[in-house]
Amino acid sequence: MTALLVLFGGAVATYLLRVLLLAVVPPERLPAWLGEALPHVGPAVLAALIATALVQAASVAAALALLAAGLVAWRLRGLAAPMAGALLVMLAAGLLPAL
Amino acid sequence: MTTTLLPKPRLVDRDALRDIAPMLLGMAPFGLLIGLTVGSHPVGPTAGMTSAALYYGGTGHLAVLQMLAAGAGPPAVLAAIIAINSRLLLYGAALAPRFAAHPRWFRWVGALTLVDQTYALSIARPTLAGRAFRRYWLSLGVAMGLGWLAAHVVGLLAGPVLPAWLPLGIAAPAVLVGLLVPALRTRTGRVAAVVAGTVAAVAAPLPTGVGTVVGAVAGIVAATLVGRRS
Repeated sequence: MTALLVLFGGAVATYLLRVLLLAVVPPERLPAWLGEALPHVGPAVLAALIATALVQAASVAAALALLAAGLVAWRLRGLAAPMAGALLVMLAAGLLPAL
Repeated sequence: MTTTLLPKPRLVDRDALRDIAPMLLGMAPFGLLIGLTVGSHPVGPTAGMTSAALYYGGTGHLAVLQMLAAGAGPPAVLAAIIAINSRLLLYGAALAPRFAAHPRWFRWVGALTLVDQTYALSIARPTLAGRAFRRYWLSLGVAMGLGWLAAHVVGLLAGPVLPAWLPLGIAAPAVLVGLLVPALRTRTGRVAAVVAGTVAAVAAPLPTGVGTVVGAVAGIVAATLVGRRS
C-alpha cells in the first residue's frame, strides 16, 4: 500500500513540476539560485543512481558492463546501443567463471 | 476571401506525427525495459502501467520502481523523483512565454505531456502559435504516449517468454549511463557527475535511497560553484 502511494505520489510530483511554471507561477518569480542549479541536477542524479546501483551489485562484471555502455554511448546516440553493449559484456562475463 | 482557401482543419497534425516517429523508435527499447520491469514488480502490472502513463517519462518512473523494489523509504524515493524530473521545471520556464497566450485549459492539460522530446520538438518550431500550436502539441503528446505505452506492453508480454539466463538486471543502469554520457561533454556536467557518483558510493551504506540523494545534492552544489567561478 505504501509502495502504491509513493508510486502515484511521484506521478503527482512530476505533474506539479510540469505545470508549475506553465500555468501557476510566472518563471521570472523563481529565485536566481534555482535557475543556476537546475541544469546540474540531471548529471548529478544520474551519476548518483548509477554509483548506488554499482555498490549494491558489488560485481566486477557489472562495472565492466556499465563502462562498456558508457563507451558505446559516447560514440552512438540513443539508448538501445549502450543497453546492448552492457548486456553483451554481462553475457561474456557469465562465460568466465573468474568474474 | 472565402474560407475555401484555408486548409481544412484536421484533428491530428501530420507534421507532429512525422516529427515524433523517429524519437519513438529511439525510445522503444527503454519503454520495453520498463514493461519488463513492471511485469515482475511487487506493485503489479496494473499499477505499473497506469503509473507509466502518468509519469510520461522513463527515467523517473524506472528510478522509482527500482528504489521501491530495493525497499527505499518514501522520503528518499520522493526526493529522487523530484530531483530527476526537476529538468521539467526548466522546460516549463522555457515554454512559459509561449503557453501564456493559450487558454487556461490548455496550459493545465498540455503540461501533462511536457517531456524532453515534446520540449525539443516544439522549440524547433518557434513560429507555431495559437490553435496550430495547440494541435501540434496535443498531437505530439498523444502519439508519443500511445507509442511509449505500446513499448511497455511489448515488454510486459515478452517478460515471461525471455530466457532466464539473459542478464536483464544490467539493462536499467545501462540506460541511465546512456542518459548521463551526453551531459559529460561540459565541464560542469563532469563535475556534477564525478562528485555525485563518489559521494553516493561512499554514502551507500545509509538507508536505501538516502545515499543517492546525498550524492546528488553534493554534485549539484559542486557544479553550481564551479559554474560560478568560470
